[in-house]
Amino acid sequence: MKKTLALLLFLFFNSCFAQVSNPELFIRDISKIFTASMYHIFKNQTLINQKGGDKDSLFGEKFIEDIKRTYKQQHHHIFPEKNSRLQALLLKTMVEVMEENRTLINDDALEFKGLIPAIFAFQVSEKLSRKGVGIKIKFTNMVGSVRNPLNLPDAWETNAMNGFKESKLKPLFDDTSLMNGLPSYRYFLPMKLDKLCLSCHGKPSDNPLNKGRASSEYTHIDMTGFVMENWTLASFAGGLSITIYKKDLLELEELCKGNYISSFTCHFFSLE
Amino acid sequence: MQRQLHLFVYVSFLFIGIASAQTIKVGIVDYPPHINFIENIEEDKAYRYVDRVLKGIYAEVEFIRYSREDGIAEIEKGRIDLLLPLTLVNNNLRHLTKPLFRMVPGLCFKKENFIPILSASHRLKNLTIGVLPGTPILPIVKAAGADLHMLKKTDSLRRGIEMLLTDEYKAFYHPNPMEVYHDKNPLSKTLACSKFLGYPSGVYIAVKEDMDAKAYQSIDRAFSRALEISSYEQYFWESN
Repeated sequence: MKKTLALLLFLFFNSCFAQVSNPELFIRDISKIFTASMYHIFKNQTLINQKGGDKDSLFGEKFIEDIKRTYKQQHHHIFPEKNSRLQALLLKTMVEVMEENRTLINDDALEFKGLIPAIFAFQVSEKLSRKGVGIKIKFTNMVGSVRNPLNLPDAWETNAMNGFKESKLKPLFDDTSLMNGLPSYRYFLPMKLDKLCLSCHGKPSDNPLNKGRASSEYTHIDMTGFVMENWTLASFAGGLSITIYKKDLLELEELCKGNYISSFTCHFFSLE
Repeated sequence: MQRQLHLFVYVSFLFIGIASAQTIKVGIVDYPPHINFIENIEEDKAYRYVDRVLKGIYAEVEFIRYSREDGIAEIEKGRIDLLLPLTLVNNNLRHLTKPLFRMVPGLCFKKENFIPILSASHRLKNLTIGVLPGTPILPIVKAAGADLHMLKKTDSLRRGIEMLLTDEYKAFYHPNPMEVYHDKNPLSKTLACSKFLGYPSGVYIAVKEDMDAKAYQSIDRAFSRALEISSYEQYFWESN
């Protein structure tokens, strides 16, 4: 029995710590998966907020399959078949977040559930952090354009966004920075505004709550409760910032050498 | 999932070798959906997780049900060894190093008053909010200018919800609103809750003050290792 379990552990260890040969490609893939999921949440606002109906596609395997389809439509190539440990964890965490919101999603008495892409992103990132996974994902923008103070940019993100004014929104990858004192890979994907974004971030005339009202009666508050920013499609929309601790892409041996995980875990995973 | 369960079973096997012949007394308090007194608690995830880890150290694990107040009184008197799950609010109870899991505070509303995104904190201005005694209030709520009303100690949760239903409060501040807003709670037909995302706090296993250092270390190490290999949150979601 013990031998079988040890063998299972060995296989688990191998699958968990497969090496990532190109961190830039890897983090770009993570960003693509994430943007596909965000877009999917965006597209499904009607389903999320509607009364009744079949909402099964928002949960479990169906949700993942839909994200893979959205990924293919968005990026014009198929979803990476060989998932790394972090990619698999990311997908699993997305399913868990949707599951945690099941009561809310199925609550027919609420007209607006508030499960918008930014909230979904926040919940996924928070859940990953609670699991001790060294990956942080956030939507951010310049100071003064961020609704949630917890999404304010740090110095690296501010520099990245300042740079985009010259670089025409080309994504930025950096393998020399620190996050919480730990060597990290950082990636910033500038986001373009979609017409749908303007229903909250645009002008009062873009606000669905103002439909059928005279302009003198327009509310400047969007359906999430925030004052609208008056952005247009040409406005800078900030972007998606992803940080992955380098240690989380290392082989087990390197993790042990660097004392990133306890000696017990090293011993545990190296049992034969 | 299978892999994680195998890991967990294997951890239990490792600990069996060092099991003590003693019995440990564990107080548990109602904490749905992790511990749910309405149902068979032996099926509850927190019960099973804690039971498995402790059975690696102790020959017998005796679980005793308490109300939160009684449980705290019992552990303060040293009549039980451990008490869980517990947010360490307004008490200085000794506890294990790592939280068993984390939770996010939030507000519960009657559905017609629901505020889905609480980072829109200007919506909390002058909102009458009932608060459970001893609950730490997030600075964002105070800064928003909410009208906070601390409930009296006795039966505070039930009274708070009653006052919400009768519109005396417009919202009810809860350290873990998902305990209220879930499919198994009939109140979810009337109430809806949202969370202050980004402000998680720990839920711990409290330890009696006079537990000797060796026993404390042994329990603390066992839980640290188990949480490192398969966190309770992972276990909770994977076994659902």
